[in-house]
Amino acid sequence: MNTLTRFLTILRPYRRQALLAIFFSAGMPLTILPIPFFIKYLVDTVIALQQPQLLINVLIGLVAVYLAHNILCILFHLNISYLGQRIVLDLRYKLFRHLQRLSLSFYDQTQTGTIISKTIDDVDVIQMLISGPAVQAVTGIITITVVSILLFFNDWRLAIVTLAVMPLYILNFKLFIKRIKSCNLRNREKMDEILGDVQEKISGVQVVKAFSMERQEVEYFTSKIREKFGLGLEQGALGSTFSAIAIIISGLGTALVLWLGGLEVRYGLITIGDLLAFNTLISMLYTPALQLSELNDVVQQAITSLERIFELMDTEPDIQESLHACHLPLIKGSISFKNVTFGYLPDQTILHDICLEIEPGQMVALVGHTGSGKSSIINLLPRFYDIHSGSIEIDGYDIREVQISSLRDQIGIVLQDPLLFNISIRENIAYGRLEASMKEVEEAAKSAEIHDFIMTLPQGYNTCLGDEGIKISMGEKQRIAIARAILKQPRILILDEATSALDSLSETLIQTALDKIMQGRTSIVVAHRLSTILNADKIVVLDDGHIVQLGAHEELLQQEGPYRRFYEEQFMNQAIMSRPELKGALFNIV
Amino acid sequence: MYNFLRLLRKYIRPYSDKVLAAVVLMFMHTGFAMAMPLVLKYLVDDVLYKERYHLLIWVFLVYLGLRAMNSLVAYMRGLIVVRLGQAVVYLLRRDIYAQLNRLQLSYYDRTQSGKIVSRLINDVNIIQNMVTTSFITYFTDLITLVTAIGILLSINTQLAFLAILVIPAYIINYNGFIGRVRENSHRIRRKTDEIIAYLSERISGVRVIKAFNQEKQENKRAFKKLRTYYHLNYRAAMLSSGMSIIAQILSGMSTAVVLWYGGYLVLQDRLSTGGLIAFYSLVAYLYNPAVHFSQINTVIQRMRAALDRIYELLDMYPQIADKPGSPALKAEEGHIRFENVSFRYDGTRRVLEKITLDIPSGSKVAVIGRSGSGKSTLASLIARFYDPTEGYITIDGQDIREVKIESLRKQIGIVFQESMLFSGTIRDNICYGSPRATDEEMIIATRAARIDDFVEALPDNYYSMIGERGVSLSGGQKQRIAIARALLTQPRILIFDDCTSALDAQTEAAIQETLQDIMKNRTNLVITHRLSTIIDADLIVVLDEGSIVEQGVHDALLNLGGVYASMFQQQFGLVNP
Repeated sequence: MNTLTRFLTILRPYRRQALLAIFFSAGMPLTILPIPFFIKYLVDTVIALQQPQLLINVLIGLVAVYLAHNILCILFHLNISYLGQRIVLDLRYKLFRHLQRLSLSFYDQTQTGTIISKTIDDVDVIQMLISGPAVQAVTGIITITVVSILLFFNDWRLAIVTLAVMPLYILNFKLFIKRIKSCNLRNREKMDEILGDVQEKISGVQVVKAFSMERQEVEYFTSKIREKFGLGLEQGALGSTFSAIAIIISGLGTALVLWLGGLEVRYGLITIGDLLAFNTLISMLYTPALQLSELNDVVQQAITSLERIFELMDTEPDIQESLHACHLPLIKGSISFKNVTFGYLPDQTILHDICLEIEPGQMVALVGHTGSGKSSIINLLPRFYDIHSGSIEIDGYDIREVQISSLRDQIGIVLQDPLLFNISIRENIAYGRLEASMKEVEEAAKSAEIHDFIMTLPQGYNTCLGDEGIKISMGEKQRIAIARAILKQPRILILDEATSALDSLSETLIQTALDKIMQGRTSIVVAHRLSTILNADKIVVLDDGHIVQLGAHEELLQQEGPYRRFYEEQFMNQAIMSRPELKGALFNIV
Repeated sequence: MYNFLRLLRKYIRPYSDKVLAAVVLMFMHTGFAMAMPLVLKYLVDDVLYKERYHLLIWVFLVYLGLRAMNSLVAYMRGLIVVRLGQAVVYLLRRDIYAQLNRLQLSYYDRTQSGKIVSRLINDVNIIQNMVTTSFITYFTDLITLVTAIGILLSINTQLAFLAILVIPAYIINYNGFIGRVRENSHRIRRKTDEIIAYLSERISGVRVIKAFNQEKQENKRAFKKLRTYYHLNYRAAMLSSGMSIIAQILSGMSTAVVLWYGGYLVLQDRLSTGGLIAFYSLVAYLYNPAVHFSQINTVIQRMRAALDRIYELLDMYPQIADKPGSPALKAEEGHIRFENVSFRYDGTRRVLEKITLDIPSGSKVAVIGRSGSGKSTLASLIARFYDPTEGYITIDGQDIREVKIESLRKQIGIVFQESMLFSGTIRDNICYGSPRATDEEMIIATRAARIDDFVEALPDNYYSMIGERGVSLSGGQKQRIAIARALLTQPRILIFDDCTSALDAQTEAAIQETLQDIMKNRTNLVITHRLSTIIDADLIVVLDEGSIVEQGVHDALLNLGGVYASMFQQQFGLVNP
């Protein structure tokens, strides 16, 4: 579908307001059209015929005309402001809702800056189009049509001369439209690039400073904005050339009318009043025409913005709920991976033919080297990504056949990066269950061993977390994230190295809490710590996307295989091996 | 207004020749435009009424000439103004970005990144708009107004006074609205910042939103914010149209009066018909600028708010900066000393309390402690990301506040807890900080961080792109790239801030092994939770609530039977020692 046609469908809910807007924008120029005829009346009747008593008609008529015009203007402004802002609200909300629907793979591939600039800047451009140029277009077209008709009635010869100039106008327009459009696009793209870059460097400012790269960063940024500078000049030059030519062409029309009209007065074809009225009418013709041609700039920009917005709206979520998806009832928590093959990109394979059965209530530890596919397995369970082949079943339900929300409702996740939001601690903990009572929130916090810390803060649970929770330590963030998952009372618990930034003391405490919560729940844990592995019902040893060993700790330790090596390395690394007196002690623990 | 003068002085004065040219062109533009009604007057009074039709061709030529000149002048003005606007924007962005790089970390801790970006992008765009559009309109309007009044007075004094009489009403109208417009525009800006910050946070936290099924709740939250935004913008539109409509009514009414009274004057033979027509055309030049004046006000208000915010940022004094004439750090040994160091983040709770610590050159010192005990802060003080509230830190006897920051940080290699990588190739990331490193050096660092196999297996190996947040890499891979990045700078002092947490034991052990060599002859500070990696440390420091509670070597601490001993036992699964 054409971009503009599609834009009209967005307008549809507001068609009444839009029609009114068209009506008003058509009415506004029409109400001032009588003015030239009052001038003709003034010159030809009142002045030429010396009729001072008629002078009052001019005053009354003009006042009436202006009043009518201004009343229409007021109505129009009320209407267009509502329409423009309302559509902006709708568009932004639609975009935001769509963003919520999109799958993680979209976010992996798109820069935050680009998304923000589409929802903020591009929508602003649309709003400007609606309340500015779109109206000017209607007003312009109506004015040009009606004025042209009036010109013909007034003096068809002069009218032909005036309108003969029009094709030159259009030619000029056609000549520039393409180049202006492409220049606008390049300009916006450059801006996006700069924006994305700046955001990244701001969130990584610590790295920039640690490596003393401030000067280089400034130089890099400067080179980018220099390129933008060049594009800006090109854009400006194109716009200036285009409107300068337009001014000359309209000037030629007026000059011809004055000359030829003068000759017509000489031969008595028209009166002086006619010529003056004609001249005033022409000024009404060229101003909207000029506006119309300058409109092109803004409309082109708006179309570019619309295209960018629609591009985002047209991105389909990779993860689609099946049409006849059923509600996943309260599950017992058995999980079954059947021949699962997966990669983040279509031609990439991270997991090969994974088969895994997990009984309800079991605790499964994923073990393996970095990049062996542990994170991918836990990404698949809440259906953040879809698998390439095979199936994942929970209580016998294929997860692709159930409603996504009913699936995720029953899974609690603590991620590597805790990702807290810029809201109060209470809201962060209650994130999955906004209706949770204060008591429940506190209990979850106590279980996650974060309650005491929260109470030391001046505003307790109402303390707002800063930008990405910067002011509290990683360990505190993670404990809040754990409390958040606990509060949800999920049937399946996923912990992705959640305890990595905790010291062993609070880890032990959390571990006790997690042990309690894991009771009666299926849990999958990615961890490298002994206690986790020792407690696991089942250990899954992954290597390069394959399950290479599977079983309980004791059992696996007996076997000659990667697990044993892995286990030995974890505790008997270089440091300890170099201290023979410790070796005995450690083997005793085993 | 003061900030506006500063903008003029710093960013516009270098282009004073362009400004001058633009002003001259504006005068010419107004002049040519004003002359056109006079051609009309000449046509009516001297050609048509006096029936000197042979002069018609001159009317044609002069009018066309005026129009052509006008077009040429407008074109030149357009080019100059665009150039001026783009240049000012360029300089402003460059300076703001440089200032951002000068500011200390505590600024970033306090300020939402959305707000920072908005300074650099949106506020500067507003200034650009002002320079290229509003500025010019304002100026042209002023010139037009003065010239128009002059010409009107010369045509007919009485009528001119009548027309000018309306101007005070304009000014009253303008003042009636200005306060509310200003306040509203401030609120819009704040809301915009808020919405951008909200959006970027929700985008980076999308995984959490999905995991907790909060899409609908977030939609509601977004809708509430967008709705407030809508109301503010609607109000802004109402205010500015209210102002411009009143202005229009005033101009319409006075045009009516001018034609009426002007007609009367013509009948009295005190004004020619052509004079009345020219007067009528020129009155538009009087009122249009006035209408513009009232419309431009909104833009000016936005500009002022944007300028205030920009200067607030530019005026911020970097709390951590080189003292004038400070020497470069001479770190031949790499001996670090903390003397009675206390630290608190901007008036909040105390993070470090009277720390005195000696880290001899070439040693490996481990810092352990519960989360929030101040370990990371301790490390960031060495690189002078923050200055101690009390006490001081020396490296080889030099107070780190007395040396050039760059020379200090060049000697320190830090690997952070959160391995922040940038978009670009893997090579760009590893060589970040050492842009002049050779491929050979880079590969050595990569090998030491045990990421070489992984990188070389990639289709584009070192030239593989990584995403905005390094998404296609696992946490462990990111950490290893961050380690390689720090190693490549060949620092005297190495700081590992719990940077191997996402690594599995095998990889970590392998890295430890290669690090043995690298750590030799360097001073090493290791912050960790994994006690197994620090058993061989020359000194183990146990921090709790910002104070050192224990320090010593492994055996001594174990025998002490204190915090360290119990941590060690817990970590290795011993329930009862």
